Amino acid sequence: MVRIVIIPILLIISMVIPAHGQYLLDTIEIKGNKPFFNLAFKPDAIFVDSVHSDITSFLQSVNGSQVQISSPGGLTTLLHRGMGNRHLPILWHGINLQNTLNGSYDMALIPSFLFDDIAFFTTGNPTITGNNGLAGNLTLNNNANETTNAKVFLKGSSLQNFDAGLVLRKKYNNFNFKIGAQSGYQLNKFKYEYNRNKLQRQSTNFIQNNVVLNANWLFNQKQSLHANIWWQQADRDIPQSITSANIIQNQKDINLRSMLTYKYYVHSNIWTLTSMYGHEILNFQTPSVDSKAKTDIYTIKASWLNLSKLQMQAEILYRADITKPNFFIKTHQRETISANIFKRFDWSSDFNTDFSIRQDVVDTKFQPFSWTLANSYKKLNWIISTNYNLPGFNDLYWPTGGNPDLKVEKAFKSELTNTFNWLDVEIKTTIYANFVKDWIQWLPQSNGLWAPVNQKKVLARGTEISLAKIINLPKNQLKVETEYALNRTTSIKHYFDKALENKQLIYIPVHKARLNASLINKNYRLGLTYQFTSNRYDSPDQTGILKPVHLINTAATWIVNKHSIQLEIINLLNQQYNWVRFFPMPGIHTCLTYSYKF
Amino acid sequence: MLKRFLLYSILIFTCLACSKDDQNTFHDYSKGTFIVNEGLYNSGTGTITYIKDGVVIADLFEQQNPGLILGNIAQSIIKFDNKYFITINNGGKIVVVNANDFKFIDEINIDLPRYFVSTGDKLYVTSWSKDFTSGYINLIDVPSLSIKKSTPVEGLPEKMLAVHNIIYLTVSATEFDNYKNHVIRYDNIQDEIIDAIEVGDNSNDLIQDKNGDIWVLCSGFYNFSNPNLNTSGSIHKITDNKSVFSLKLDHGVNKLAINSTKDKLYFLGGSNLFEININEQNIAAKNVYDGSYYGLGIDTENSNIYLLNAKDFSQNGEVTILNTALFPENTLKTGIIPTFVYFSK
Repeated sequence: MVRIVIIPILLIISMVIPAHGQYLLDTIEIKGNKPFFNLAFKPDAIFVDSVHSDITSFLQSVNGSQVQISSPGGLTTLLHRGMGNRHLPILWHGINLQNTLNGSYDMALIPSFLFDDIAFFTTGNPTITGNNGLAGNLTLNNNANETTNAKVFLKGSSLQNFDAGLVLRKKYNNFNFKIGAQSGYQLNKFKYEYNRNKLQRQSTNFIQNNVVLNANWLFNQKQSLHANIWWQQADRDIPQSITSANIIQNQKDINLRSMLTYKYYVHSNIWTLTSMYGHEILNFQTPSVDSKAKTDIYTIKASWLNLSKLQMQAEILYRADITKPNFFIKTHQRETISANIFKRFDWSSDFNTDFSIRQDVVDTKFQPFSWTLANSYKKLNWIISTNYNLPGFNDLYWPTGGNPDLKVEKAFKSELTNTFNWLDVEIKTTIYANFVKDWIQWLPQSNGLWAPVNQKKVLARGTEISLAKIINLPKNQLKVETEYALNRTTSIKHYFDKALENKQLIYIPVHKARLNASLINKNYRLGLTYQFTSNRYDSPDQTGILKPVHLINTAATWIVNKHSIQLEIINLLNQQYNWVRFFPMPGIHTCLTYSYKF
Repeated sequence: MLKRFLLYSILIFTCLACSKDDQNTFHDYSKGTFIVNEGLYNSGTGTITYIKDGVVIADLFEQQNPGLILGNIAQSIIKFDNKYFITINNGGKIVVVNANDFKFIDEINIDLPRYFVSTGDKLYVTSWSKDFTSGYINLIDVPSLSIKKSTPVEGLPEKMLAVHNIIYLTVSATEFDNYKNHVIRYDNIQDEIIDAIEVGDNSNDLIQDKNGDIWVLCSGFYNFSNPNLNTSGSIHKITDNKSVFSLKLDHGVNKLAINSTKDKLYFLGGSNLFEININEQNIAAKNVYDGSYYGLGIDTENSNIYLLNAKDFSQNGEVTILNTALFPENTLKTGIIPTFVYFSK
């Protein structure tokens, strides 16, 4: 019913916009294919080498983040500044793809080569990005206006992983078009030690195919239409812990995301109407489990943006998530209506304030009011914001333990960043605090079944520093970057077990550091990276400790005209390590990549 | 000066070396109390907590076998032929160690092993099929440490009790299984199933009392699509291979144990401890101790009750030891998810 009412309203709004004058269409258009969020806030990390590197490497390089890989090719999640994976919005052209069923978006499924613009925001603007933005957000965008016409890559690894990708672009007058495809077959074969034996790790037999389409059609100087499609299919065996007997756990993901955006430019205003449809299939099979889940996502979003004096954006969104797993008793649906307003105040040339507010109504119930206040004075940025996270469908409706009475997780976060130069060294320092009330955790109940409960209040706080210096040598350039992150994420009030208060949450390292040195020349690039992760606990009472990890990777890249070849040696010290206990990671291995841009 | 420096260095080094070694060791592990800890479900290993003379060894297997890992989800343990046999459920094996020094001997590969029973000269173990739809009662060939015979069982066989030449076998079942409310009888001379005795829904555990009667605890069926349709638990007395008495209990009752005089039964219901006195005229179940417990065992010598608390199933658990007056005498730390107690005499 709500859908029937709101869709015509949004359509009417988009039709009645007065057509006054004209704006510099080209200027807007270059940026306009991205959501406004990307324009107002600078990303904290940008993925610059999606040809040679993958999304996991990029996320590992984000200061303060911990990538949890159960096993190469297995579930890959991100814990940023002590928050959970469910607290990270994955924004595909502004639409959140975080899994509403289990809150666990698998980063291994992102075909980074196919996207033109991948960025990470440590805070960004949680008001605009939606309800679960407690851990920053990851944005995935395409842009048909990119200057590179086309590119291709081939990659092979000693783990017996093979990947290939192709991106083509075409321009016909006012019509821009991009198509990209990426395929991979990854066995992830390597040896590990267990019970004094050298054993072969279970193969993942990971087949992955992705197709991305992006088209922009500029009707005239006032109107444009943008289409985006992302289809993906993945089929893999998920390795078990090495302490378990070998059984085949197979996971199939088939996802289709499509989006159509209409834009209308008048004076310095942009009116946008976006509709998105997503169809997500997640099937998981073991000898004893045969779970099949389908989720449909319908989104309609209308926004108005003023880029001149007002510097303001207003947005209204309707979203329906409909899920039909075979393990639920019935189909479940969540309807969200959300409205947000953003306003920038320029107090002086080097001092401005961004203020935004959002109110969501989910299934006719008002959710916590959210706001963000971001002040920028010269190189100093201070953001404070409130937000919340809705429980996933499994949390609410899992047949043997789902808890429909779960409260939302409520968050308050603040971040202070200073960026400055000292002795030609670019320095960025950050301090932050992130408070989450009613943290959701699955726990066993008195009937022996597991159920999610609101377990505790969590405070994550820490400091980060990064330094970067470029030294110009006679024929080369030496770039040195180093980062350090200190994080304390503890339960400051545990509702069930006081003994667990003030203890670092599991899997969150207190210290992380990274040193990267690159020697850059017109024809080659040599890189060396050292990454340190301090010990982590994998039991909440801190009796289970995972050892610190020291990783050294090196890469040599040769660039001849439009060709490039990169040889990478990963885990140079051949460390035996794991991010999750009894899920070993590979020792020393190599990766060879060839790419061609034309 | 140099000599003094060297002397102090040696002393300091010796002190540090001593203080670091806080492990407790015994020369003989053939007797004592063993607590089997499952370990974390997805990414853990089982451990064995050993208790003797007030001394606790947190992880006896690791201590006695450095560099070896027991495996995922340890389930139960038994002593037989001067060896300990430990079922590693998800690891798909039985780990065999020497009873005296707890040193690793070998492994027996078997899908999803559960519980043991000894008939004196033979050792049996129940196991499940990988698809969790059926199982086996397996005869272990102890000299060769292999499975000699596997007899298929419809349903998921669990605990066993050996009485003369018969093994009584509980079956974890749903309402759609054949042996949904039965105890199976197995002839351990011919090594074949004889028949089944009807009891309550979803038999879970069984013991023999001082009169030779067998008591069977049944959990009731879970209805995953509608918990309101869960069926009741029950306890049944079997005399001459027939259920002659039954008592309706709450859904989900589990783990049955008996005191040393074999006249008081104890089980867990809603994680609390319940007692049934078989000497009473009107047999009833009394809630005698509150808590949140996952496992239960009774020392056959002194009737002390061992209550296993798995806490949040991700941190180390606890064992609370109650005396015969049901007063807590001691609480000791265990490994993660303590599930099974074994008293080796």
